[in-house]
Amino acid sequence: MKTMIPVRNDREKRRMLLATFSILPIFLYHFGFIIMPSIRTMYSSLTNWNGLGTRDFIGMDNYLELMQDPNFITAFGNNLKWMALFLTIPICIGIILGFALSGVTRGRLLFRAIYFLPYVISAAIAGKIFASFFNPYFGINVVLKAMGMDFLSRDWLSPGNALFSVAFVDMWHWWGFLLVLLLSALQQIDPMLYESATLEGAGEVQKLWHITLPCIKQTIIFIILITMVWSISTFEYVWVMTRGSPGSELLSTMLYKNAYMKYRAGYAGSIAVVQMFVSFLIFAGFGMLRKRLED
Amino acid sequence: MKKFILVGACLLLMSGLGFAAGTNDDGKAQVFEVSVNTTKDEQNKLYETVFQRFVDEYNKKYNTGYSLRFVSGQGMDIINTRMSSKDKPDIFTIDSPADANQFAKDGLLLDMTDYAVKNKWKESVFDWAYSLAQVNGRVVALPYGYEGMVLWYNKDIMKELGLNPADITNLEAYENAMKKAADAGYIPVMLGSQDWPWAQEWYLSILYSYTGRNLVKNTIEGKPGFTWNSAPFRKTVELYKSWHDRGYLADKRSYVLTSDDAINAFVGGKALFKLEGTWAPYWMMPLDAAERDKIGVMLHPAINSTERPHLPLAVGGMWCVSATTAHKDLAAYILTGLLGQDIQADFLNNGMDVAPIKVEKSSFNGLIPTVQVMWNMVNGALADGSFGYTTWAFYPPETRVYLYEGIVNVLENKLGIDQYLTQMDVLNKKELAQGFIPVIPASK
Repeated sequence: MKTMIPVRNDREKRRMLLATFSILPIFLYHFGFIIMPSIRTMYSSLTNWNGLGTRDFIGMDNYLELMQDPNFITAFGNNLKWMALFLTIPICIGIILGFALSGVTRGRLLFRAIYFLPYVISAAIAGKIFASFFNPYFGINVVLKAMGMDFLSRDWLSPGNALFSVAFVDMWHWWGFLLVLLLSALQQIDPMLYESATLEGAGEVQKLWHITLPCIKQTIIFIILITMVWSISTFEYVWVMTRGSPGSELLSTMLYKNAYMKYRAGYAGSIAVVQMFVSFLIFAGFGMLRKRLED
Repeated sequence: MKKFILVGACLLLMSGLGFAAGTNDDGKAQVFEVSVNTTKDEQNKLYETVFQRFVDEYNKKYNTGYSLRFVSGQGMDIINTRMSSKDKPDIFTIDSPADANQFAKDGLLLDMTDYAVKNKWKESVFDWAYSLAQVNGRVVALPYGYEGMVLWYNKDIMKELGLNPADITNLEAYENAMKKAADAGYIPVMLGSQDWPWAQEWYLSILYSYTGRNLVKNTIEGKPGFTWNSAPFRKTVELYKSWHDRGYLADKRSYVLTSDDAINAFVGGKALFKLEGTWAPYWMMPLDAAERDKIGVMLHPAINSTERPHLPLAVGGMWCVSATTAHKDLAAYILTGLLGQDIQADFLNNGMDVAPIKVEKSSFNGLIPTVQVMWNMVNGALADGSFGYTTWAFYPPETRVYLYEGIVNVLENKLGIDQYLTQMDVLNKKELAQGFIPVIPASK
């Protein structure tokens, strides 16, 4: 039996070459700046590297220490709380407001720009501004008192409240981005579906539940995915506002302190690997979920 | 067209990489990099002028063609990363002798002993500071600043409460002053650690040093029989916690107040005392004369009968030279030049760190009176050896971070004092075992 060898003409070959050549810079960039450092970090996590000099191989010692480190358990718990907050509040607000805004035809762009604005403000600036708002002497508390709602005032950045206060600021910055993603998805929905539903006598909630949500399912899954992954690696707002003080310590702030303040880059590497591993699990889980949904 | 774009993009990428690699136009490695951690424009401008002057002088004297690359804002995170790479600056700043210890352990610092001897650094630099510049008897750094912790007080509030700062020298008088201030609606001691967790460390630096200087020295050095979890340190932490519980320390809000909030609240007349470093004239300089005159400076009162009030001392940071520099002579020329009286007088008058050298007294004349008082305290403490030990200058790094992070959990009742001190002991011993070499000058 003769084997059929696919014959490629010159044009196809050129196309293949061009495709490979186009991907090459991104691949090289990814290889040099993501894959290689990741491999290096994995190796560092198995050493006692202080971030400066030589690395002595110590096996799984860093991981064993990590599993018993109360700071790690607290930080990981805080990341999970952070994730729970971000999976609910900004996504719900984004969906509801997106649904409401999708019906607005006049000034939609203006609304979109206004809601998106916080996203373009740098974390350092927004964090500093909100830290001032949380000041006990002239911030939100003073406003609350003036409004006769003194019972609501508290020390917003104290260890008991810091995590939620900082998460609030990050959400303020984050949900506008989600809204833009959701609005783009909502605009892809065929208006005929809503018209038919209206003719059938469906209410707004029924339209949201039976038309909107199923149609933007893929976008919502993507949003949940990035929210979960970013919740594991979030850093800027916490660092700017509390420096990861007790009560708001996250894996990333713990990592930074170990790498740059305690001269324990190997140990910091093990935290980074845990973050990578959790992110990988999330990606894998979502990959399977998406496949299931597509099937 | 596509080809041109592609070639253009490649050229752009290559020029970017070339720029990042730090080569100069003609490819010669005659660029000398000085990298500093300062971020304020005025300070950077002065530094750059001074370094440029030295490089020009050197070029003229030795007929060389060096050009200066001055890089500012290089904090410890950036320096650590750069020193573990091939892109090392020639001269750079680090924060403390504890950092020098780490860098020297890995052979990253140039041994400058021969240069130090040749240029007689020992004759200019204070003995204690010179000892901090050494690891295993070799000179590996040059301290660029010296500082101590003091208490600022509001003169008006002090008067209103019928208190005399000269009488507040012991625990009883200090607690009485704090109670009076709290009863009158003032915050006894202002402290802001929300953006600056090190503020907790400032106070602990004072209190541990006041517990007993020899005790601290021996404990850090891991001498037999000395542990952090001993009765004197336990008593000190209990005292600190009791002040916190009574609302004496920033009204229990230090970790919701930024350093700006703390200084504004103090200057605004909300607090009797404010813990400060002698490095802080830059806070005073922008104030008008009337506001400045309200601020008095004193040593923290004693907290027990064994240790008298003293000044916990630190070097503000250190100049280091990379072990791999190809321009050792120029580096030594610059560091020696920095010890010049005219240079230090310029730094002093600009509110910058001053090297631990015998600066001529006339250089202090133009300073604000309160700043002069602070400098008198520092220089007086040095002259009679009555200095103590700040955490950032003398403690091993991991122990140091735990010291100020763990205390918040103690104050919040999430961690027992025994557990806190035991963990400090564990970390201190671990770091000694890992090669940390304490360099702690003896005090009197």
